[in-house]
Amino acid sequence: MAVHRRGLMSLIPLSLILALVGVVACGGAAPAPQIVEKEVVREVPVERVVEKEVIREVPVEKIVEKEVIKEVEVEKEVVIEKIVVATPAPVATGKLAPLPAGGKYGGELVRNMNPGEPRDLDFQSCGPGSCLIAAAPVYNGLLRINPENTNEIIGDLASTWEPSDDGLSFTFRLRDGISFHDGTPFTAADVKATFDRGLDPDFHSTRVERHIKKLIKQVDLIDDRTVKFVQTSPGLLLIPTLASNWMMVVPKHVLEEEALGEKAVGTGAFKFVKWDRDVELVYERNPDYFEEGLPLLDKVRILQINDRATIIGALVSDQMNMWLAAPPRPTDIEKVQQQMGADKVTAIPYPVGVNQTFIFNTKRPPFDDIRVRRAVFLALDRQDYLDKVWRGQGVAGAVLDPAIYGDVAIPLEEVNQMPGVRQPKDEDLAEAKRLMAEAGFPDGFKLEDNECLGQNTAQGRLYMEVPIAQLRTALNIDCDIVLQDRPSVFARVAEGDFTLYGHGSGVQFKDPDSIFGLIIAPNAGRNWGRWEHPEFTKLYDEQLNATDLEQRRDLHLQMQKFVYEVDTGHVPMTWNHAVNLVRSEVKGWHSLGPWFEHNRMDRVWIDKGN
Amino acid sequence: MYSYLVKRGLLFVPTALLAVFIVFLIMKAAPGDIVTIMVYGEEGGAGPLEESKALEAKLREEMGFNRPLVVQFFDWVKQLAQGDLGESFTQRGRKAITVIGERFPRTVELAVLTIILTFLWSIPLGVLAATKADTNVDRAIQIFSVAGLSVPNFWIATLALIFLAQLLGWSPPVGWSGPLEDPATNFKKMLIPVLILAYSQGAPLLRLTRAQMMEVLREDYVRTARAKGMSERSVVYRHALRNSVIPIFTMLAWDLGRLVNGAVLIEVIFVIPGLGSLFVQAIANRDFALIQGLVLINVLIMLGINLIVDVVYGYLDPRIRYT
Amino acid sequence: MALEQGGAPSTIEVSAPRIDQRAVTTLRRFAQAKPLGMAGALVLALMGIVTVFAPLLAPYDPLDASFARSLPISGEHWLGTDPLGRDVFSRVIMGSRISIYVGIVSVLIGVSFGAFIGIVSAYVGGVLDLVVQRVVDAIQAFPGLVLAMAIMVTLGQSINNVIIAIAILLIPGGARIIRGAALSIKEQTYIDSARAVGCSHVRIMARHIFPNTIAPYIILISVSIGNAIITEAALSFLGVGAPPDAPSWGAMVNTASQELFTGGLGLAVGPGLAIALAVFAFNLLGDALRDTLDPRLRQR
Repeated sequence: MAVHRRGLMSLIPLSLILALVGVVACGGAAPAPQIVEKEVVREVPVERVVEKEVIREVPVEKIVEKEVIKEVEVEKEVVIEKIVVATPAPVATGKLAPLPAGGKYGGELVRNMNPGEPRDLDFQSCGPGSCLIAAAPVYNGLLRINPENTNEIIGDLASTWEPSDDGLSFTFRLRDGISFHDGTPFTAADVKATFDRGLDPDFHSTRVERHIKKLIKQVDLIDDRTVKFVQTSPGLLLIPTLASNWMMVVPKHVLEEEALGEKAVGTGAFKFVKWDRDVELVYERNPDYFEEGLPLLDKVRILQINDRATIIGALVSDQMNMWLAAPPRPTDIEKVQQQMGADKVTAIPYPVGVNQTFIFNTKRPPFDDIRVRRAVFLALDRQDYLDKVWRGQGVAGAVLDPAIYGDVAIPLEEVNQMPGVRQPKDEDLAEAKRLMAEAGFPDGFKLEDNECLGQNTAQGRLYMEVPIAQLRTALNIDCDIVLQDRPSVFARVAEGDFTLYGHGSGVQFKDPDSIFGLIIAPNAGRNWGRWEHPEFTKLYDEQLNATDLEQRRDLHLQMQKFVYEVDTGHVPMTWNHAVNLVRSEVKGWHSLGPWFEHNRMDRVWIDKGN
Repeated sequence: MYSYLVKRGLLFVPTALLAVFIVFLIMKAAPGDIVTIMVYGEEGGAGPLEESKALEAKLREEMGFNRPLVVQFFDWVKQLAQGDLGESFTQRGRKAITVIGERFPRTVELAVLTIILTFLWSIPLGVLAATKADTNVDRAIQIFSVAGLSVPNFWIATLALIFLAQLLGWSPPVGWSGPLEDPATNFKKMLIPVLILAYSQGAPLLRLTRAQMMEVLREDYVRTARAKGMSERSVVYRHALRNSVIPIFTMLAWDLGRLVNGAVLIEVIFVIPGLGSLFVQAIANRDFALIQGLVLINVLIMLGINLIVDVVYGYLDPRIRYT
Repeated sequence: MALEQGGAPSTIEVSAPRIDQRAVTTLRRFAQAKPLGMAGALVLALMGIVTVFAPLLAPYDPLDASFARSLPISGEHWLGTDPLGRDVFSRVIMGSRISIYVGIVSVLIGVSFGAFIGIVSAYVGGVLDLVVQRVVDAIQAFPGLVLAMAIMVTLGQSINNVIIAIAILLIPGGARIIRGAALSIKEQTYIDSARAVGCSHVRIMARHIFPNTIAPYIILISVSIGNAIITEAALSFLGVGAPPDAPSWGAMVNTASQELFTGGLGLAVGPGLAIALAVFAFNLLGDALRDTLDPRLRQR
């Protein structure tokens, strides 16, 4: 899941980018106290000189006059406020922080792969997140997220970048002296080739459609070290997009050979060694890596095992150093700690950015009746669901998880007072029963066979089992759940061939559109229940076109309230938080939320000494 | 003899193609395909609903899924005639034959080790049970073997892993190392699966050995041998066992064939990347090239083993003639 | 007798509901000749009772997930609780309704259908027989579990679909064996005379051939049930068998295998032992019936 602060960023004027460029340019080399950045929206009067051509009707003849008008307009400006926090870890902004001195660097790191074997190494068109995990150690992008501070974007292959005056394009200056692993020098032509592939109308991948084709119009080669990105419309979304790990740069000659799927030749910290299908991916240190002193590890192995029990066994028996994105099961963590000693392994929780929802097909009775939908919305017990499905790890009932979306999300204290979410559930249950009676179902109903759909994975079945059990008790709504495998389920929901369905959707970027546009909006790809409400659609369209940051945030809050108070096609059940279980010999590793930056492993090392 | 072999060999073709066609039809009837996974099931997927539908249609067109089923199948047969099993979807850009070939030796290793161990434990015990028929030794052996038929091997495997994990803190090695690259790790990985498989495979073989031996021990020539004063040991092993060898050999050969086709559950539980676990994955991902390739190879192996069994019969028992 | 629930033909004397003198004698003789088979029958009788009265015997609702998770064995929860907080003992008891039902019904359907095909194929002969043989060869040549998985993926998960999938696996074996039996009967003179008298083909097959294949038919059924139960458990273990709430023994063993470090002993042992016991009993009884009904088939 890449960082895409689309809506948010597109409203931030150029000053922010300039500020960022400045930060990069003057980034301190010496260890400095940690600087925490806050985005503060301020109203600042800005003087602007605008040249306008004004056509005036003059009695005798038309005269075109050039007039210089001074306009003063009020504009929103985001100023980066730097707050200095005393911290022992030295972190600089703009560049990667220098490494702590005296570490015994090196070692071999063994980690797990996320579920879903990559189809091949072509991360531009390979679907599952595991494709990115496989590619991350090998490649670099133009920009990257600062691993020490995820709110900051720093240069990776690009040394500087600046927007054009009209905000339509960005020019990137590339670093010198970088080569690919096979010795070919890295030039601007590689950048152009990488993105041109995504712009090719005959090249399809859902990811490319959503990110490259929508944003970028063309990529121009200025010279060997300079490249210009022309956007489809002025905006700032390009910057966080390019910093996402989906946008890494591949060598032109590999693309020309059409060998991206089987070869991983990058500029990155690690060289690709081999991929033993369904067994492991192996990487070795790139001694010529352009970031000085990096990487620290000699070797990285990513094991393709998804089975919990096997992973725990591997972790405990010292065959694996870390378990990333582990399901948050306290019993697992306890066991591992008990077997290994509590000081030998750390559990680092993080928001994975996956939203579990319970979906109505609003085209099928009885869920075409808003009262029935509302009754179910009120009756579902999110906390119970969180406990049973995610062992209590995560956020129950929120439309947006504040841990991911920050202040655009309604704070949890307020969420917990919202209808449906609030505990105890007595009041909501009474109202739900009243609504059911009003809709003509005082004694509940039983759905026919085949109407309640679930995925036949360990987790997927719980997405249905738990809510249906709740509805059975609360409203006497019952059905037999049909479990099918992934392709079957997607084929059915895409056709609307279900009545109730539970699903988890992962988000790609930080903007609320990443979830509204994915599941709730009328044309959203996963609005499988075909839910639509004119008032919500109005709010949604307004926020799409909103140019004012405050106004947009206000609309986002209203949209969330609408879901809690009026109606929705997806009942938000949970945003789950997972854990990373990291053994004590792993040093320098940071968990970076629902983003893939931490898969680069370039600043991690193994020290078994202590 | 040769004309017999050729005739049998020619029969392989329709049988194998029929088997592949049956599975092809079943899997085509299954809802969803690789395109639904690509368009709806992946992170970053799911553009607006209409666009997704368009993309779906386009991809399906490109992959040739829109053509009539019979045409799709015959295209595959045509490809097959040129020695090509088609390209895998889940391992994009790789030939199904490559994928299967890479996993085949692992399953073969598992199968061969299992058969050797099965042979070593079940036949002596079967002979012992037959010579001690209707004694407590016989009953104990019989109960042990019926248990081997009745206890699901995936449960024994689970119990073994639980026992090793909870009491000894031991887990089998993760990943895969071949027997030649890293024999020690390979041994640790294979030991328990082979023991468990050999137990469940050996149970029916033991019962068969016992039944055969009991029948043969009653035959006249065995009585004659005894009467001639040969040692009991020699009677049992030189005369009786040799004459029970055909059915025992047949069963061993079939077991080998089934194991080479993939011990699905054991491979899944012990994370052995062989043909059995590949089959499970291929079905889950609707990877037609892999599914069809695997079915074809499975069927050819079983038919081949049947043929070998028949030919070997001829050498062992001169009374059998091929026509 | 558990066999009664599946409506097994009353020709299995031990399960005949009306106890007359002849049946008692047969039963006693059977018990003396085949003590292991009798032991199997007794275990099955016990399991049959458990299956019938399962809702009364289970201390808790098998779907009730309101207990603490992964509890160890205790007086309150004889086999502890599973990771969802459901009582394992209650689930094992209720699970008998799935395993034994699926085992018996799928075998009855599969073997009967196979027998039908086998008889028709043998009687009609010619091209039909050839085609049937090829299909039987084809299906028997690849791993049954994989075929069952493919069928389950296509049909979706439910108990009835598991029955269909397992029944399909059993058809070829049934067809092959009954065909063999039917072929030899077809050559008997009384079939010729029946034809001469003007009996219709359907009548000959139903009235003359089928009754004479009843011994292999019963043997096939009795020896297949154990395998069918294991196949159901294996499918559920792989996550494509019984639906998720359903207390399938195989699915419970799968849960145990997911909890190698964290599960209770009851979850690991209980469901697996139940499968083993049921299959063991069916195998013992099947062996004994086979030996009694057809000594020639003893080797297989």
